[in-house]
This record gives sequence, C-alpha cells and structure tokens, in this order.
Amino acid sequence: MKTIVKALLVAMALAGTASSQNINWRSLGEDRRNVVQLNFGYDFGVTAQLGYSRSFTLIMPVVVGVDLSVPMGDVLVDDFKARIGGQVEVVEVGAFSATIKIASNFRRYETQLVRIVSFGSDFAAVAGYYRSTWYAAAEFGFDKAIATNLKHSDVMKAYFPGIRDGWYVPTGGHYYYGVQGGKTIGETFEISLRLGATNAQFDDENAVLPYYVQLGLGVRF
Amino acid sequence: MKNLTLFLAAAIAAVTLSSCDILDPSEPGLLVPQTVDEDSSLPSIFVNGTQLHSETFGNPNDPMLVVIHGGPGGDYRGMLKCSQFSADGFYVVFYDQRGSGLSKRYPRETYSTMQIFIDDLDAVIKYYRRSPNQKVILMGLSWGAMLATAYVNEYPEAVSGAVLMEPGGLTWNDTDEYLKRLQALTLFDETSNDYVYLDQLITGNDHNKLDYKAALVSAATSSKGNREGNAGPAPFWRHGAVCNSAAMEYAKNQGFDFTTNLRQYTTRVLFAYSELNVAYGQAHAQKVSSAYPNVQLVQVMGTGHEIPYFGWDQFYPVAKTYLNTVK
Repeated sequence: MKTIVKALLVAMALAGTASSQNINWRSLGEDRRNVVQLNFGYDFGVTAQLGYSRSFTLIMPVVVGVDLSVPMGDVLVDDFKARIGGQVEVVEVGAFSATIKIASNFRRYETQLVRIVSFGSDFAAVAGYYRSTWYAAAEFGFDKAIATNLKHSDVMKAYFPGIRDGWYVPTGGHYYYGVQGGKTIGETFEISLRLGATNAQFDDENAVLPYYVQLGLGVRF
Repeated sequence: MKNLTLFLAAAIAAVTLSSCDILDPSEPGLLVPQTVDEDSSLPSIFVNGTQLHSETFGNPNDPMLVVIHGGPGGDYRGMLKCSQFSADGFYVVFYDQRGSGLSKRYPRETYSTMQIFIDDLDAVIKYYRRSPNQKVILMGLSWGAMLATAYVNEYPEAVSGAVLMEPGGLTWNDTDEYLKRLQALTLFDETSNDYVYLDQLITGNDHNKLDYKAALVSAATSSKGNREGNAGPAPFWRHGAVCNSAAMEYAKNQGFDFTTNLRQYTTRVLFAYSELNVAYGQAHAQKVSSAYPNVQLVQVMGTGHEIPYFGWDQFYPVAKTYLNTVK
C-alpha cells in the first residue's frame, strides 16, 4: 500500500504542467501564447480563481499552467486549492476538437476542529466545436483527493482523545460533467462560462450543493 | 531546472510519507470513537432489539428525568450538566438514540420512520422504571424536545412533566420554516463556505467516514457568527450522520404532526427558547408552544441553541423550580 501511494505521488509531481483553464484551441495565436485568467463562481464554495497558462506547439498543441482558487469568507487564506497540470488536444477534425486534461491539485482547509491538507489529481476530457472567435464544448472529469493529512485541534482532541492525526489514503472523489463555452473579444480578451454537476464516487454521499458554475475573463499576451 | 525541481519535490514527498503510517479513514476508532457494540467498556443497555449507550445518575427510586438529545443523530454529552438534577431528587437517565452518539449503527432504511425513536424511548423508560407509580418527566433539546412531544402525544397519561428546549417544530411545516431560516447559505459567509468546501476532500458511504465528516461540519455550523448563537461547538462524542440524513429525508417526504393529541395533556410544560438563536425567536416559540394547552414560556438569556451547555447557569434555576412543581 505504501509503495502504491509513493508511486502515485511521484507520478503526480512529474506530470506535465498544464493549466485547467478553458481553452479555445482555434483562437490560440503564435504571438499571444500567454493567458491570465480570472474566474469567479461556485465550486464547492463561492470561489475566485486566478490562473496563468502558456501554449506550446509540439507534435500537437499543448497548454501548461497553474491556478489558485480561494473560497469566500472572513479568513481568505485558511482554505484554498492550487492546481498544476497540462492539457493536450488529441483530436482535431474540422471544427471538432477533443482534449485530455491532467492536473495535480493541492488543497487546504481549516476550521476550529481540524486542519486538512490534501494532494490529489484531476483527469478530464473535453470535446466540442471550436471556431476562431467562439467555442462550445462538453466536459467530463474525475477529481480524487488521494492523500490527505488530518491534524486535529486541541478542541477536537478533548472531545476524542484517541483521534489519530496523520495521512489518510484515499479520502474522497467525485465525478463532474457539464458544458463550457467562450467568446473572444478583440485579440486580447476572452470571456468563458462553465457549468455542470458533480457526483460523488461509488455510492458515496453527494455534496450538499452538487453543482458548479464559473464565469471567466481571460487576457492574452 | 523545472524537471529537477519537480523531482526533488517528489523525492521529499516520498521520504516524508515513507516515515508515516498510511491510515484508512473508514477504519473504526481512528477518526470517531467506537460505538457500544464495538467497545464493550462503554455503558449500554439492550432494549427494543438494539444496544444503546446509556448511563444514569441518582437514586433509581426517585422521579425519573429522561434527558433526550437533539439531532436527529446528536448525543447527550452536551447535556451532561443535567445530571445535577440528581442532587435535587431526580433519577436522571441519559441515552444516545438509535444510530446516534455511541449507540449502535444501522442501515439507512432503519431510521426511515419516527415511530422507532418513540418506541425506543418507551423501552428506555420501561427499562429503568422501578415501579408503576414512579413519575416520568421528559427533558429534551431541539429534536429531543420534538421526540419528547411525540411521546407525550402518544402516551399523555405516562408523562408527569416536560421541559422542552427549542424544538424546531412540532409539525413538519413549522420545522421546515425554522430550518429554512437556520440553514440559509449566505454566499460570502465563512460558515457557509466551510460547510460546503469539505465535500471535495472527504466523501464516504460508511458510518465511520460519514460520522467524522458530520463532526467537522458541526464546527462549521458553530463558527463565529453562526445563526444558532452558539459560542462554539458543544461537547460531543460522535454524530450519527446516516440517522440524521435518513430521518430528515423521511420528514421531508412524509411529514409529521406530533400535536394531534396534545390537547389531552393539561399538565404545565416548561418551554424554553434562547436569546441568541436568531433563527428561533419569541414569535416561533409562541407559535410552536401553542400546541400545548398549558405552557410556561421562558427565554434563556446569554445563550444560543445549546441551552443546557452554554446557558446552564441561567437555565438550571428555572428548570429546577419547574421540576419541583411536577415532582
């Protein structure tokens, strides 16, 4: 079991870095390979997300990047999610395109009972219709919280002295599916919308609000 | 350079984890205490085909005061200050309801009825009762006050008095009204976001994982500025997540009315509500308590919903005075 966990972590760390941003492959330009994107919406909390990505042309188009999202609240930095990953266009037939996305994620969560840090992965496929100034696509993905460190507060330990701090593997996962679309404005800006639903893995209980919606503004340079 | 950085990060992670135990969140006893059927050192009773975590204080021949916790799915740890009534001439009985606290767990469908909770309460009373003339008084908080009323509604002649602390409602409509005010998610609020953010980190379908998650969520609902007005989380052992979820689903789908026979119960009832629970308030207290024909309505100052824990100093003298009148 320990060997499997170590191998998974190494694979995650060595995964090609690519952004999980919403990408219109047909509007990528040689002279504007960098994108900064600001997203706002609901994703297991009302969240604001800032990301950076850069496109490369290898055998096929590849986008790499990072993003950071924080949920709203009185304390902004006690909870956050950071992702680093890659996406590659694997199919292009006319205006139809299909993309594979792989990302490693790191999450932090803290309340008066526990501090949680978690390493995980996010795999998704996106397929749709892409034109130079707009796109519409469907997505399907799986987000897994693989290795999670739980450190309980004195309050929690007073309630249950036998509680075990440590690394718990695995702790959770969910599927997500939805639609996304975007519109280019001029040569520099792009707005995007992404919305869908989530479903907990296996027979696990679903989220309190099993939906997501994200409105984004991208700036190319 | 990038690859080297990544390799070093992976190596550090591997070395760190190689020195740590990897734990299974579903393993009993790691994240939540074991239940009475898993830990024989816990005090328990066998009634109505189940095993319940239970303990008593005082003289078994004194009038019986049965303390009924909230939830569904809570436990009686936050109500243990009520054991003080044993010094006032009462035999105080505590129990964790079926599927709650440290009592035995069951599949979801077991809790899809209100009657089983009423029958278990009846069985607990019969288990501890020393004589047919021994008086029985019920003291319930939140869902516990609702369950106490359901019992009074079914067995009005068997109950000599009742202390009810902020029952959500005695009908589903009243309860639903209260819950909507209480559970309204505020978009930019720390409490609301703490409540939902956890869903991406922990998912499960077994009692251990779900009860642990329920414990963490309870902290979110008692965080700064919470609507119930609590100063923090009241002490608990273990939340019964499946019991809570199943009972709530049953209530939403089937409804309930615990007032159909209450007009028969003419004994005075002490009905307490808190100053700081912004979702409850005097109007709701008056509306809910009006189902009883004889009510003493009391506001407990300086506390939120967890009256017997955070509001004990204000609550105890009022409750003691009432209990002495029905003793």
